[in-house]
Amino acid sequence: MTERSTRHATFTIERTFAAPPSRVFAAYADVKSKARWFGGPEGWGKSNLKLDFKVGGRESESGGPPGGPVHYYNAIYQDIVPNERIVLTYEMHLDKTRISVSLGTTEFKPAGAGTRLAYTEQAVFLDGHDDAGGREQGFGGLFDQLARFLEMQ
Amino acid sequence: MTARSAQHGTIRLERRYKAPPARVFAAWADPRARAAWDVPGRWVIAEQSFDFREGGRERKRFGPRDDPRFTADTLYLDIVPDRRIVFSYSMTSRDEPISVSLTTVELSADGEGTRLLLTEQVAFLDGKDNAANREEGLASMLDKIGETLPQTPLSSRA
Repeated sequence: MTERSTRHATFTIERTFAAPPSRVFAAYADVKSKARWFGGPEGWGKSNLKLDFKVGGRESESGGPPGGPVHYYNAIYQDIVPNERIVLTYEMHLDKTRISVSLGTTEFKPAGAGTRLAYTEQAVFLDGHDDAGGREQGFGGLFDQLARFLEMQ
Repeated sequence: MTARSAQHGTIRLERRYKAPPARVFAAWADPRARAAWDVPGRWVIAEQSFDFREGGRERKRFGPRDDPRFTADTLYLDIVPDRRIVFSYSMTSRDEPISVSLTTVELSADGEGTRLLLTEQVAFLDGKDNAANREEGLASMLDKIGETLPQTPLSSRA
C-alpha cells in the first residue's frame, strides 16, 4: 500500500517588470503570449500550452527533459480581475503520479511606469514528493522568461 | 471600484471521532451524510449539486435561512478512499468573490476511531472575510460531523 503523506508550504515571489499592468496581464491572458514564456527551461521542447482564460476555464501543459519524466500541469481558473488579479488551482503530475496540488494567486499593481507582480503559491505536496524549494526556483525561472518576453515585445 | 487585495492564510484543525475512517470518509462521499453537516451552525443549504470524484465539480448555495447569499464552487482534486480528500472551493456573497481555498482532509485510524486533520490554505479576497471567521465556520462543521456520525448509514459503501 502506498505511504500517504502531505506537506503544506507557502511561498511568495515579487518581481517588478518594465511593462504596465495591462501588458503583463495580457502575457497571462493571451495563449500565444503565454506560450512564449510559460514553459520549462531550454531543452524541454516546444510549448503545447492549452488555455481557456476565464473563470472555470482550464489550462494545461506538459513537457520535460529529454529521457526524463513528463511534467504535466493542469489548472482551473478560480478568480480573474482584469489587469489586477488571477487566482487558479493546479495539479502537477510526474508521469502518472500526482505530486502536488496548489492554489496560486498572482497580483498585478502599477509601480511607476511598470508593474509590481506578487505571486503567492499555497501548495500541498503529496506522498513524499516534497519539492517546495524546487517549485519556488521553477517559478523564478518562469518570471525571468516573462521579463525577457516583455522586453522583446 | 473595489479595492483589490488578497490575504493568504492557513487554518489547521484536528478532530478525533469514535467512528472508523470509512465512516468519516462517507461524511463527504455520501450525499445524505454530507447534507447533515456541510454548513456552519444553523445556516441552511438552499441548493446543492453533488459530484464527489476526482475532477468533479459541485455548487452549493447556502447561508442564513432568510438570506442564503453565499455560493461555493467546489472542485475535487485528489481523493484516496478512507484516507485523503483534497479539494478547492471558491466562495461568493451576492456574486462578489470572498475567497478561494485549497483544503486537505486527512483521515487516519486512531484505535477504534479516526483522527481527522484539516488544512485549509486560503486566499481571502478584497477584505471580505478573514482566517478567524473561516476557522470558526470550519470548526462548527467538523463538530457537526461528530454529532451526525453515529446515525449516518453507509449507504454507498459496504
